[in-house]
Amino acid sequence: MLYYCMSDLLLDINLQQLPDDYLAGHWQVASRVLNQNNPASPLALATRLQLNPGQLLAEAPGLPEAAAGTWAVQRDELLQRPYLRFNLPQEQTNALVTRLRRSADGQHSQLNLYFASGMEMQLEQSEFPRL
Amino acid sequence: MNPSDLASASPAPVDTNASPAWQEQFAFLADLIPQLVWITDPTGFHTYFNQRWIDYTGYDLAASVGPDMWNNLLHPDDQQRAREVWGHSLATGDDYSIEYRFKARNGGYRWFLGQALPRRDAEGRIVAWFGTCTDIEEQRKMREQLEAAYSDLEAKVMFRTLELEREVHDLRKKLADQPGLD
Repeated sequence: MLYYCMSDLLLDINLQQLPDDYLAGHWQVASRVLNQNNPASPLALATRLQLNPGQLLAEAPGLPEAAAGTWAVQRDELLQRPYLRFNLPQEQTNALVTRLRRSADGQHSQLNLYFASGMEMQLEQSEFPRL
Repeated sequence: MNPSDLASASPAPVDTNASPAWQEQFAFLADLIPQLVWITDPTGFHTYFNQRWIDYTGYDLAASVGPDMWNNLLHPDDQQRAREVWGHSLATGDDYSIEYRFKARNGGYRWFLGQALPRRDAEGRIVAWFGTCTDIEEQRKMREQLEAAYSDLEAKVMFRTLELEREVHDLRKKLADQPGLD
């Protein structure tokens, strides 16, 4: 709940100058609109995405293990913002970064993705300091 | 603020030709409307603020003398532009219109639309400027949200178009690679 109270304090990051490492980390899926996306695909079911250096893990409840693959940040001169390339054994797709918002201290982030299928996903990340 | 509280809220503007009753009615009306209201002499010195101005900014007429009020009230990014626009109106008599951010007593900034018209005497000389500041913070937010949504939509359309082009390219390549097909 603390995170939602702080969401007003998140600042929009200029996507044309977005450092790649802002996109890495362990993200919770906060909301999703499927549109034409296959509802049974790993990314459509995922509740958590781990974007580790060179490695993607899509975790979903009820699945014995996370779907593992790779991810990469891509850029196209025609697009004014980066997109992500997701490679999973069952699913290969691209997702445009439509918004990234971060707290001033970088502890909280909110990432909006727009997939080639039309699926939209909002991810959240909080790194609370360890006591 | 309840209108019944307004009768004596702000001082009536100094106008030696106006009756006390008229001045009281003017002050009542000026305090009733949702805008910040101000009057200046032809050179730009303030001669009247309504109560909303005083409540929002914390500056009354006595405190408005000198450059401090504008330097403290206006957002630093708006100060130069505001000086230029107001200076142009004072020099030419052109209508005054500008969007700028004012700092409230609590320290937060809000966007306002500042507008003013000159009042002239029978010979056409400017005798006073009558101005209002209308709070447009919500409209500005809506405008920014609309612009962001439009920009997002444009990017999404471009993204989907590029994806489609890639798919078409891949499909053509597959077809070309199949033996027996031209």
